[in-house]
Amino acid sequence: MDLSKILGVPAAEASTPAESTCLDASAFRAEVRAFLDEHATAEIIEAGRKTTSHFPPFEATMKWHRLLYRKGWSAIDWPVEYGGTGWSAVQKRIFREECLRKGVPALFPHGLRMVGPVLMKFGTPEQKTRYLPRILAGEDFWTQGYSEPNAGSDLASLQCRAVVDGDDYVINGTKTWTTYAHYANRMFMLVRTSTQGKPQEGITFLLLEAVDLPGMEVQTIIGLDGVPEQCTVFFEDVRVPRTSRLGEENKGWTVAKYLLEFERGGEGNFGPSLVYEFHRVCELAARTSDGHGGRLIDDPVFRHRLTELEVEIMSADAAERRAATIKKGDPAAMPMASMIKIIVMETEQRITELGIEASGLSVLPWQLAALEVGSGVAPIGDEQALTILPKYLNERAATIFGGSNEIQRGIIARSLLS
Amino acid sequence: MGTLHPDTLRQLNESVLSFIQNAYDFATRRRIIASVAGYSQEHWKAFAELGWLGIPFAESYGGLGGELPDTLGVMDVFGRSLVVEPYLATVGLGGLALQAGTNETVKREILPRLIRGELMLALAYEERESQGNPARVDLVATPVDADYVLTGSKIAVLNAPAADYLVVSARTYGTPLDTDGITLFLVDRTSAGVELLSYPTADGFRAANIGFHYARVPATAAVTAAGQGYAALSSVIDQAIMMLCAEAVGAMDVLVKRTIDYCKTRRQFGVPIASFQVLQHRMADMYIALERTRSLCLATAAEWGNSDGRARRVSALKVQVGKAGRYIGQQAIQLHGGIGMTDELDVGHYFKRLTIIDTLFGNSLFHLHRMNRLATSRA
Repeated sequence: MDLSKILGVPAAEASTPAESTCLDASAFRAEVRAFLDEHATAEIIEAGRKTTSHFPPFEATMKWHRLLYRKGWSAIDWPVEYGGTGWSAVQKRIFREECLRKGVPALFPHGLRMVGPVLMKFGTPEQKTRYLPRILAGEDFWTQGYSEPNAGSDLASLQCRAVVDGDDYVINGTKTWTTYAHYANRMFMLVRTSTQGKPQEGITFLLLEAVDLPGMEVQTIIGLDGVPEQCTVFFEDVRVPRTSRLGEENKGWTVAKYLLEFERGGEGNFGPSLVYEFHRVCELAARTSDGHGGRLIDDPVFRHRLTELEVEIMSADAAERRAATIKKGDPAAMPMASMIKIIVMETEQRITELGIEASGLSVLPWQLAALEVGSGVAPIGDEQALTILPKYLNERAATIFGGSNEIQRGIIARSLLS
Repeated sequence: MGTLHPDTLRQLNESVLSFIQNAYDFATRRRIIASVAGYSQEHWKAFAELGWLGIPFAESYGGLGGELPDTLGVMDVFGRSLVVEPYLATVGLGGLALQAGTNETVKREILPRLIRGELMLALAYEERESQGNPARVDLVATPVDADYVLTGSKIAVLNAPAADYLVVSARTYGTPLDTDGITLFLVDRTSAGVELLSYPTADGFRAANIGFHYARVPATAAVTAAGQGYAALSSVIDQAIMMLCAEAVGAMDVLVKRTIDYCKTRRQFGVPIASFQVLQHRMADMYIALERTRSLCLATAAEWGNSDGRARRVSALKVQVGKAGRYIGQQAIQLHGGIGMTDELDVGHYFKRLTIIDTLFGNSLFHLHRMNRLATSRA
């Protein structure tokens, strides 16, 4: 379907600014498209189609990571020296748009956008050599051990202890909301190494070689959407060598804050996916009845809501692109990153809300088996509607994780008042 | 309000509350949802014995002789405990549709058994194209000899998998959007040509999409005069919306309380999170959403006996419930944080129920349009 006819806006390309000034843009787009057409397997596209979370189906996504790696395209945001592509902002955006158009899942952020950048900044040469190539190649999946049952928004109050014993740290405590820990082979985590001074001053950042070390236990948590995505990890006298430390002892908060800046956005990642998800909702509304012989997409009230949402998406996208031009460490970077996190996540949530409205009664059947990649179970009703309610439910986490939106607004307010 | 004696009503409502408190905790509900049937037969028997199944039915059929508002206390408590037994589907939709019809033989045969808990019903009126509009009927009933032959399909039929009989809206003449030409039929769910595609729903209930492939029903199974079923159907759906909204208010009430309790006990930054003004204001807004919705719900019930403008008031209530349910559900999860996102905590299950409630019997958008149309036609 040609959405430009329905909505009066062209689909993905129009959202790319300055493409016309980039002479090889169309050639680049064609190159990306040809690669995707050749290499994105049916399984990978099925995983993209059945993604209902910020964290797409694990196996197929890692397969896709390794396929992109062979082409040299797995870490498009990394510096060239570490295996990045050296692409311009326009090229990265074209790449993201084409990936969305093809329907492949987005790669996991844990290695590429979270622990990767902090390794580059704080890692020893040995740590960089050991871990970065494996992240790049899609050989490792890192889970994030930050939150604890009693340290959520108040992350600095974390209690999971690491005590020095000879050449080791001995870890005791609990980490939770460790995404896909049951699939992970590595874990980065924050531990308390000192109770002196401010809570932030006694935290150390550790890199764990495995999630099944003696004394470690991973327990999955079933989410609202019925899927085990998050986990809790228990530590009982778990020994790791002191060389597992990233950065200095008791200076882990600095590392963690640097990582959060990446996690919270400002990398130009979300805009194209907002546009894409919006178009998907429009497509759905074009198939759904309004109950009176027309299609929902032609309902003036629904159109009004769609158009308002479109403005939200355009402004969020523009803000994200602008934020990407601000250097890390600039005083403006912190409130801007928080702002991007807030507006992108709230806009994502609005899209899933409208998605429900656009599906009508198709959201009713609860079909976990049909959502599994490779299950072969046919969906009941509209195939796209299959993902709509799980997405809506899962997306509620977006204003909670990575620092809740209340915390982000606090950061902005403190920055404005300081 | 209703017609039951206040003492009778109070006893009924107390019996619901005490039964639910004793026999319907969250763990029990989880077990029921995971079972093959998706409801507890034992509970259903108790519902019958305690008289709840007979509340809105005439005494001549074995009912208590109450009116729709008399069921709302039950629905409120069901909302508080997220009861999944098909009370709304059997009593509110199927049963009231039969009672609203004109077929005395069917009423005498079915309603007493329903009230005794011996059979269950479902109302099949939604279709792929209807999305809340009961006038949109594409399923056709064609007279053949002394029978009708049903061809077409229905979707989102609540409780169809457990129902002994389906009350089906069918077009006996006219075009798909005509209010004239719709007939309601009582159809044995196991009849030849009736094919169910059954599924659990996101909120823990059971439903089915149903194909009717030349399903033959006797003309005597028509529960309304031929072609004259729309008024009954439409008024039954309004009654079901009223019941559903009472349930939603019960569910919202629990979510607001749970959230306040959680904020009082959850400590971050060395203090209960309830001490943060931003969360205090959020809780205040949740309270406002709840109480303004409850007020509208009570007012709509109080004016139930006045049929003038009732449909428009019902639509307004549905819109308000949709809006408040979304806000309260979303904020309950937000304020619970990560733990609110888990299947283990009941908060998410209330949220899912409220989300589905907005999509049933026409969503907010549908009812906004209906209000506008009714305003225009009245002017």
